[in-house]
Amino acid sequence: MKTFGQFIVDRRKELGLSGREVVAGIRNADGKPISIPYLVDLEHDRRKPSDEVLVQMAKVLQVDSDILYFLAGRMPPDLNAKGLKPDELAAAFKAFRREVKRERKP
Amino acid sequence: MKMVPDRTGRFKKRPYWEICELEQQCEETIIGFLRERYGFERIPVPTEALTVLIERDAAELDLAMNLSDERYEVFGYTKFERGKKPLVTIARELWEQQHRNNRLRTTLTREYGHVLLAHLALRQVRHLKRSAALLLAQYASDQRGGGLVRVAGGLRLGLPADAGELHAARGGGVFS
Repeated sequence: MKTFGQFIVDRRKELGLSGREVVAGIRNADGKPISIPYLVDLEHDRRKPSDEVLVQMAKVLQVDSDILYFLAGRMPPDLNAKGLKPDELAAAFKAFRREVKRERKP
Repeated sequence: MKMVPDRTGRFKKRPYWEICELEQQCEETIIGFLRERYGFERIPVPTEALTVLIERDAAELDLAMNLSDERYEVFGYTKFERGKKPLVTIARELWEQQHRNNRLRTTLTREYGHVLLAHLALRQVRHLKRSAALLLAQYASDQRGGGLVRVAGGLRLGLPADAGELHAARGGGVFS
């Protein structure tokens, strides 16, 4: 499994995008485009993106944001797992594992 | 390019290019790349084109803090490792300070020059052992690559002068 950084750099190259083209499509909370050094840090797994940056990154790279959340080691915020009871959370993970196992079967 | 005897003892023969050969090779490379990416020759060469070109031919383009020391200003280096594509590192401050854009561009072209010339040398000499190939790549990459930034004489963007630049590890695998 690729890391978050490896995944986004490979995807960017696959789409033929330069770093500048990627940062032009992603804005920080203050409305300014993210910087090239910040992107390079993300691509080298030196930093983790905020939710806002991650969602925009998914759009620019034309991938499902859930994949980026997974690679970044976080739950997508819309799942709102905080409200779940421990039993429900355990059941959700069980279902996730079952699905992964099913997908891996030849 | 021709192979000439090397008197330093590093290898029996080393590559030798006339300046015009280097210029031509560099010019062909950048023109070919611009046509492929944009469909025409973009002058001046966009900075993003330089980064994409490096990413195409090097293993990685990275940024790092504090490459300079008390004596020398260093804004980029290219590292060669056995059996791998070279790693290019550029000083982070060049990206972060808008007024240093020209220095960023000249640093990118200079480092790409290392990548390209090492590649050209290795293409000519395929029978070398990996250690000798590494040495040759290091040697060749230290030649001039002005044609990368002086396309058809139309671009005024020279490579930085040698003075003050750190050749920290001549023969050690890193070229700044």
